[in-house]
Amino acid sequence: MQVVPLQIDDFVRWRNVVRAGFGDRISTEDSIYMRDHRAEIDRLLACVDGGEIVGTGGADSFNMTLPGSDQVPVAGVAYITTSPTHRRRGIQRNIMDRLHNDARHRGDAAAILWASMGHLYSRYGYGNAMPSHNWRIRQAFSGWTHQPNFNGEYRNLMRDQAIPFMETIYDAARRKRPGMIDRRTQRWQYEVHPKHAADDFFVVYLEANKPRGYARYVFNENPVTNDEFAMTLKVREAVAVDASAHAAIWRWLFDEPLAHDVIADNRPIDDPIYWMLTDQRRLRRTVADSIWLKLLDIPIMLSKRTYQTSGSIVLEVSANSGRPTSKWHLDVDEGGRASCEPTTRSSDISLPESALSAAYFGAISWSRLVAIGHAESSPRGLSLLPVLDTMFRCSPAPWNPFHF
Amino acid sequence: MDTVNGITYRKLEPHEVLAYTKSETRGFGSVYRIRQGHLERSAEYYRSGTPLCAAEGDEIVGTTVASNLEVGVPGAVVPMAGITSVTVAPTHRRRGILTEMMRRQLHKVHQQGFALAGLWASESAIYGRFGYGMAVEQQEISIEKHRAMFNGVGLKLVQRTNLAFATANKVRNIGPKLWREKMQTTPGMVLRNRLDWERSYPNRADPNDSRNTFHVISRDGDNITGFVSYHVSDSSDPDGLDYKKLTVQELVASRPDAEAALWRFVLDVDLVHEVTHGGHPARSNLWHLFKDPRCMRQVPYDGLWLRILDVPSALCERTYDISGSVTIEVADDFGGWGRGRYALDVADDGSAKCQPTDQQSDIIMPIETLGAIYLGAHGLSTLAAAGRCTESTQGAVDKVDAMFATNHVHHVAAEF
Repeated sequence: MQVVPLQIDDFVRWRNVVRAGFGDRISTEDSIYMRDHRAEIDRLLACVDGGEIVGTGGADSFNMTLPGSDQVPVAGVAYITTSPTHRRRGIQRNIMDRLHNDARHRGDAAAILWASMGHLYSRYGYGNAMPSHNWRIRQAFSGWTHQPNFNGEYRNLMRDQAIPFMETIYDAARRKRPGMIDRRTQRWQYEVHPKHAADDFFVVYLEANKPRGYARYVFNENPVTNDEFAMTLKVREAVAVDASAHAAIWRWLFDEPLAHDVIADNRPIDDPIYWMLTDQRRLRRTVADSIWLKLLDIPIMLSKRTYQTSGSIVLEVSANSGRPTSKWHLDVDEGGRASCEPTTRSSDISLPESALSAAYFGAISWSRLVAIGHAESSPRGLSLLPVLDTMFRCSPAPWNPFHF
Repeated sequence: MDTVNGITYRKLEPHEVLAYTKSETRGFGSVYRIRQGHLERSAEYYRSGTPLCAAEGDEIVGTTVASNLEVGVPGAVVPMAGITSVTVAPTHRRRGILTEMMRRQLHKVHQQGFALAGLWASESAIYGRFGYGMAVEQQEISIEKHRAMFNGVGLKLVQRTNLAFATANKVRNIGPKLWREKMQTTPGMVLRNRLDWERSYPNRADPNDSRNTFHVISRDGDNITGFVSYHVSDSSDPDGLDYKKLTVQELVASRPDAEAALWRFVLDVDLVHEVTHGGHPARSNLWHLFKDPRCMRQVPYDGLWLRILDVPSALCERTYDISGSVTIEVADDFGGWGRGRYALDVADDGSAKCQPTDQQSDIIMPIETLGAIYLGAHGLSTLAAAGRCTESTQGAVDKVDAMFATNHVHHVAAEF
């Protein structure tokens, strides 16, 4: 068995293995379209046994926004499967290590992924960095008392008309929120391909003819109402450039006459809609783990983001997968400029990279990491915890609205 | 005594305990049935607080009680008027009784010197208009037991804790001290008074209570570090097989290792396929201890609603993680207790000064917004995006966000 770069001629065969691994419904035409329009073939790996592909993995290239709105290149890790015939032979670890090495080599500062199962990736140094909420609300309870003002106009568009608007809006929005990644035109064309979006509706909100927000949604039968005209509106994606457009888009969705219920997966945990509703409890939220993050280049990731206050700390980071321990001096001055340099000073806090990744966007506080024993602290480190907690807090909350 | 639109608002007379209790019980949808000792406890409860009566003639048509409680805020534990038993008779709707009661009650507790009033809402649409803001969320959790393996962090935490079954008596004896200790570092945690301890952990099992409640305490040497109370009920697992569901009624621990050990204990009880808890902290330690965090379903909901009655005193009572100065103009259209423009100055040691000022305001917000952000569980920037405050100095919202935030784990814990 060996892990090798995927050859383009093997793509369809490779995608079938991925498909089996996730139980997806994917046609050969879809694989061909993906191969020709958006796959980054040189980032895909196959584990081959004889002539057979028995393991898959790969990455898509993105730029991710950090707190303070700098961006870094990241590897969007995906397509990780192992054939059931070849379990327990280290294929997954092999592929993951290779992917991370390749990504480092290319200059990616971090890797992100959507996990098919929640227990898989902390062993490779990933931390649950961007939890989100799944929503359900009955339309009857979607009235609100508070709102930012909005007075633009809506356009209900077909797919082809909607894509350029959505691209513009998404690109403006993603620069403002940590965790969001860029999406190239080819990806839009693929994701909103007629095959994937045949039943979808698109709404765009404009102010002074400028696109400000959009939603992509679909109507499903509602098993509760048993009424063909009282359906469930599933929001596949809703993104806006500011609070007004965000409110405008959600008012549209809540006011769709046929929507008895509105559901939406993967909403940011600080979504203001909760605070606009008259009856807040009626927005039923469940917590989801969403994006997992692994820092590949610690000094870049720690020095390119901004912090909520100044501080100076020595972190000792132990790798989850065999790499040596590293020690970093993070220093954030009063002007908010951060530097992160290797150091030999004694450490204030030592922790595994999965814990650092989970704390990076503030999803878990440093106080809590130490309290539960996920990080160890020197006496000086203990006294620094409140400062560290404040430094790493992230507003707005990190969020990634789409699956890759 | 005052009469408005034919309704008299007055205090409760000692002979009215039964009528008041009946009216209140009906308001929550039940018929009151006399149980041994219950009325005496109600009477004692009313005596310990400030019950308010809305009456038409002899008939009690509105109830609400303010009790003397305390609540954890960042860095301190402070007095809070705990508002309960709010009902209006269904026969007397739309006559302004609730509004009148709320106004009189807040006026009264403000006079009594409370800077804060807090409550659990039966419905979340009710109390915003009286100046209450949603201050602390909790969550219902449900855990699939067979998936609930701990990760390395969790396993290390539970290694050494010593557990033992205990009686309700024992919990009632050791509980109050643990509770107080926990309140010091838990914003939103509400004091449980003696009556509520007695009600929650009664001396003799209530013959009407068919639940089988068990109590387990955790110890470190002679030191009691936590307890859990739970009951086990019949259920079936997703395959339709007979199994049990374990419901955690309460789990309190002063240390993360004890907390983890008590959770591990309930997750290991035999014949159980699901473990649930209705009053779990919104930001749970537990979810970080699982190998597969998806074994735990988390559904947040609104817990403590807070109404600030004395802005300077409330803002000075808590501490802050970072220093800064900001001028906040507060609108308070219901009663006006909080109305004004205040200069908040936080020193490097985290202590605050807050005084009325004539300076230009940086932010304008209604009192319910201040109640919602007060304990640091919700960021002002989120509320601003919902149209719940107006920024007049650029950057002021972000500044308040950073100043008010805290990384203590919020938890109301007590239902009152």
